[in-house]
Amino acid sequence: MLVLREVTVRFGALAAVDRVSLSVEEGERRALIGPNGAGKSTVFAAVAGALRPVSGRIEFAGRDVTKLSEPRRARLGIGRTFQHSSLFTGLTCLENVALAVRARRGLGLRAWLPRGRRAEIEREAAGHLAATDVSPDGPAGALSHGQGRRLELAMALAARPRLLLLDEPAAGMSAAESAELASMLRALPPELTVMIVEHDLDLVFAVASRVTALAAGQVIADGTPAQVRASPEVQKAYLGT
Amino acid sequence: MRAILAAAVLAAMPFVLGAYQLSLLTGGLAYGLMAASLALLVGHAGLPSLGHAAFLGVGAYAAGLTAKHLSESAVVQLGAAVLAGVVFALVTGWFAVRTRGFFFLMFTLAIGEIAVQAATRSGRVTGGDNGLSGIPVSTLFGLETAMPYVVVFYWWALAVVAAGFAVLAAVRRGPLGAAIAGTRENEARMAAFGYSVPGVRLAAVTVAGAVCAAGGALVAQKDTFVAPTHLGVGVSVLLLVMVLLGGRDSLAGPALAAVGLIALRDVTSGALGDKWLLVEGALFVLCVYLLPEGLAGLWRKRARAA
Repeated sequence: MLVLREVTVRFGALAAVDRVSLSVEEGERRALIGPNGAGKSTVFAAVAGALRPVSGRIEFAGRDVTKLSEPRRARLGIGRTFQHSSLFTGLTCLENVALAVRARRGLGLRAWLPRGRRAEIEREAAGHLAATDVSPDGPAGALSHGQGRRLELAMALAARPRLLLLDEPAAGMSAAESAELASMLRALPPELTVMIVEHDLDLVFAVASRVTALAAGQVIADGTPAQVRASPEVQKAYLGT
Repeated sequence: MRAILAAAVLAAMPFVLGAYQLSLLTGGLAYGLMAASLALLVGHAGLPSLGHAAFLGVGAYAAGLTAKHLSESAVVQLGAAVLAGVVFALVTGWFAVRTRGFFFLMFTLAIGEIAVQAATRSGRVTGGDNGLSGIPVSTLFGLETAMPYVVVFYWWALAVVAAGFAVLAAVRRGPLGAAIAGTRENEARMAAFGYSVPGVRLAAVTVAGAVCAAGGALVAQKDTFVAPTHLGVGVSVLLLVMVLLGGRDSLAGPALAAVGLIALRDVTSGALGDKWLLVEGALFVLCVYLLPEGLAGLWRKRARAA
């Protein structure tokens, strides 16, 4: 589903991601772990298309997407949530999700839609909100932190991605909220490929089927959660910070 | 509902006002439409433009040249103006939407100045510094033979302004309007949804430009004259003042401010001449301090309090 070959992303002299190769199968739940600055979010940005690698190749669903823009990749089925809540705070929660629904249906730039189409879009958006347990009414800016993170998830799912990139979905959540999120993530459709960057290792091991560990921009371990947890390099990287 | 009421009241104005005031109101409405089109950019899209008068000028010159060389029909001239506005918006907007904030401001300022230069230098077509004069009076479905021209033209202008407002209001309410607001609030998220952010912005510039060009056509038809100063930064700033005075995120606010400012200019410029600009400047400063959300903000605050 997703293949990275020797991908390098530089910020000036710093190689934030240094010749990273990895391969994610369809339906896999892959976690990216590693200490701060390991390059996890940069890998996500490169996969989503927000950052261009200086070298290497990114294939998605058998297609070279290395040179495609972020909107093009989104339309091919790469969806993402952001590390820092990235909501349209002035819009209602329903409208936040409806923006994604209209984009997926290719109706995002229509000047006008008939009433029937509008109702259909609103129903679909409301369905995504119900699934993530967020109330559709009221401005997104008024949500609590945990609700905001769930709205993020609803917005990403509303685009019906084939690959979903979750960047620290549990950041700032309480233990209870995080557990609730874990059960929501486990309930995602099995054919959806999910990559997750997360510091909350309980959540990682509750959700992930495979784990890739990064440190200083390089892959230091790749395998089942148990294998990665037992890896001496991983233990060293985590103890070292 | 309120819009229909406003249109009905405005349509009845020829029975209330004299010819001079009616002509003044016609100009006010045209500027109101152009200010509302700028509000779509400044408030809704978050793209502060200092060159919006270029669209006024492009529409006015297109309508004037059409009147002189092609057709005296007001409708044909309007069509030509809107078409010219769309083309001008697509060409300049293609580059402009790749900048933002301060750089967008500077870029649009430059476009406006280039447009002034273009109008001044191509004298054989545009009349150069002297402006485009000798524009024939437009025909208005033959109605002008039956009624006083100022009245018929007022209704024509009102119809164009109402149609322009309907376009702006529909765009703001529809999916495109939501996408435009989305790019203002959060570019990264819109791109992640699959929206092309420059594409959405270009659509906003094109709608605003086309509507403004329609207003420009009205100016040319009303005055039967267009000058390069119509494209200049002075008019752009005037439009911006109307938007800020009326409220950035409103359509009716800027239109109201436009009618008010045009009337005020008429009253004060007789006595003050060029010093009228001082009044405009003072108003601008006052409204930035006292009315950050413009007249529309005042209205909303009262609605909230009630």
